[in-house]
Amino acid sequence: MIAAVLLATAFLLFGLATDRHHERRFGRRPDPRFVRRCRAAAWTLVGVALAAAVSARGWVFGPVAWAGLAMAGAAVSFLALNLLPAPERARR
Amino acid sequence: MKGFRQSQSTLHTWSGLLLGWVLFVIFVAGTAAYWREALNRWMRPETPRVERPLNALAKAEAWLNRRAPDAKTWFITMPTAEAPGTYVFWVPQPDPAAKGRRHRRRDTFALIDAAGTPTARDTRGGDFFYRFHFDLHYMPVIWARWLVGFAAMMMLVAILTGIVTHKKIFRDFFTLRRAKGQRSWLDGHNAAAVLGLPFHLMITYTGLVTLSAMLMPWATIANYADGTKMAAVMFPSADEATRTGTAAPLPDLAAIVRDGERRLGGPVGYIEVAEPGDTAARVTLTRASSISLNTYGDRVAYDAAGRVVWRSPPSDGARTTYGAMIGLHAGRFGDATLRWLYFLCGIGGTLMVASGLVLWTVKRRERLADPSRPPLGFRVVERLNVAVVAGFPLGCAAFFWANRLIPLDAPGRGNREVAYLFAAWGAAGLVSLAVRPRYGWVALLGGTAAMLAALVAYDAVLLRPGLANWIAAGDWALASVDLVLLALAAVLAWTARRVALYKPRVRTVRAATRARPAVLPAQLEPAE
Repeated sequence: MIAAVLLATAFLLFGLATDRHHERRFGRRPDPRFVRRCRAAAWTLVGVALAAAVSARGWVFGPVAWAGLAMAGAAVSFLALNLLPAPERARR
Repeated sequence: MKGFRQSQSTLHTWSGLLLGWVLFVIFVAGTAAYWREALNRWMRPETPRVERPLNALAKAEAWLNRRAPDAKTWFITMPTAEAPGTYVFWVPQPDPAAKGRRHRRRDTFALIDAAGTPTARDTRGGDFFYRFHFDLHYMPVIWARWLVGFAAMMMLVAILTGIVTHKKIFRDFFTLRRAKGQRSWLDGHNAAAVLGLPFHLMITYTGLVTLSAMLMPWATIANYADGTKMAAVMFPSADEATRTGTAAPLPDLAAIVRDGERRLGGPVGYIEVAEPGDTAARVTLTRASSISLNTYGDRVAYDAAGRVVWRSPPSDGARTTYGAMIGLHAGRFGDATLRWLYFLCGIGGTLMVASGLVLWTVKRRERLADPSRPPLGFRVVERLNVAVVAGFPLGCAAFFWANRLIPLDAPGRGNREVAYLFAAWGAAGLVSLAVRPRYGWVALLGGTAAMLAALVAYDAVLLRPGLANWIAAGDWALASVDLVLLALAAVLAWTARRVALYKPRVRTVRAATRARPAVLPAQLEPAE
C-alpha cells in the first residue's frame, strides 16, 4: 500500500520534470535545478518503494508486486497529467 | 544508424501487423484467464460457495467412490473458497479388450460442488479462456501451439524492434498529444507499450518458455535419449503402485491432507490417488502453486494406511527456474492485489496490440493517393481490424449470454456455449465485410456494450443471485466480474459514441484521419 503511494508520487515527479507538463501546469519551462531535484526525489521514492514492497511481501513476491505497482503508478500519473485540466491561469 | 532503425521499423510494422490479430485474441483470452476461477464460479451461479474445503473434499471422495471405485487413478484438485467445487478426473483400469480405443475425457471428468453432487450447469467456464489462450479452438492442439508460439516469437521481435524504432518513447513517456490524429494514436500506442513494458517483456518471454520444450526440442533430445526420463526428472513421482487385488478401505483423505499441509509447509493443490480401494493404494499430494513462485510444488506420497512412503527430491536450479517462469506468467500465486495488477497489465497489452493495429491503417490513410478508393490490402487490414478487435469481444459477450440462456439439461451444453462464441464472432466478421468500417466499429462496439450491460441486468433481475445479492453476501469475486463487465460496457459504449459522432476534418494538407483521433487512444477498448 505504502509502496503504491510512493510509486505514484515518484512518477508524478518524473512527469512534472518534463518540459511539456511543467509548462502546462506552471506556465513556464522548469529551471534545470528544479528538474534535477525532482528526478533525484523520484528515484529515491522508487528505491524506498522497493524496500517497502519487499518488507511487506518478502523477497519472492515483493519485487513482483513492486514492478506491478510501478506500472500502475506510472499509469495513474500518466492519466492524471494528461487528462486533468490544468489550472486556468497556467493555460496558454 | 538511420538505416538500422529504418530496418527495425519495417520489421516492427510487419511482425506486428501479420500476427497482431492472433496476438489480440491471445491477449484478450489470457487477460480473462487471470479471472479463471472467478469466471468458473460466475458461469455456475447456482453452485453454492465452498465454505469448508475439507468437507467438500470428503464429499467429492464419496462421490468418486460410488462412481469409479475401481479406477486406476483419481486426480482431485483440492477445493478452495475461490473454486466452484472439486474438480475430479479419473483414469479407468486399462481394458485389454479395448486396447487402442481412447476413452473420452468428458466421461471421466466431473466438477463436484460443496454439497457433493455434480454441478448442474455444464459449461467450460473460465477454463475456456485459459485453454483458448494457448490451444485456440477448432484445430489440432499441436498446430495451435505452434501458431501461438510463432505469434509469441513475433511479439518478442515486435517489442524489441519497437524499443529500437521509437527510441524517444522513454523521453516522451508522459506525452499525450490529444486530438492530433496519427500523433495521438502513436502516443497512445507508446503509452500502452511503455507503461506495461516490464510486463509485456516478461509475459512474452515466459510465454515462450512455457512452450520451449516444443519450440526448441533439441536440448531435450541431446540430453535425454528417452523422453520418459526427461519427464521423470522434471516431474519426479513415487514408484507406480501395483494392484494387489485385496480390497482395503479408502484412507481418510481429509486427515492425509491435514498432515500433508504440515509436511509441505503450505496448502495442498492436487491429490492423486492410485489404485483406490486396494491395499496397494497410494495417495500423492502436491503443494498448491499459490504460495510459491515456482509453479511445481513439492510432493509427498502416502500408502493405504496413511504412512509417508516417499517425498519429492529438492528441486534443482533449472527446474526451479522453469517453474518460476511459468508461475510468473500465470500469476497463480497472486492474491487479489497482484491479480488486479496482472489483469490491468493484460488490458494494457491488449490496448497496445489493438492501437498498433489501428495505427497501421491511420498512418497509411494519410498517405493514400485517393482516400475514397484505397487499395485492396488496405481495405483488408481495415476490415480485419473491425472483425477481430471489435468482433472477438462480441463473441465473448455471446458466450456469456449462451451460458445464461441455454437450458441446463441441453445435451453437449458446454460445447454449444463455445459454438455460440464462434457463431457470433463469425456474424461480426460478416458485418465488418458488409458495412463501411466506420459503421462496423459503431455497430460491433455498441452491440458488445449493450450485450454486456444487459447481461448484468439479466443476472440481477431474472437470474438472481445478481450483483446486489453478491455484494450483500460479501462475495467480491463474483461481484467484481459483474462490475468489470459493466465497466467494459461503459468504455465500449463511450468509444462507439466517439466513433459515431466523429466527423473527419475537412481534408487539409494533413489528410483527415479515420475514426476517433480525438479519443484518448489508450481507451480503445479493453475487451474481455
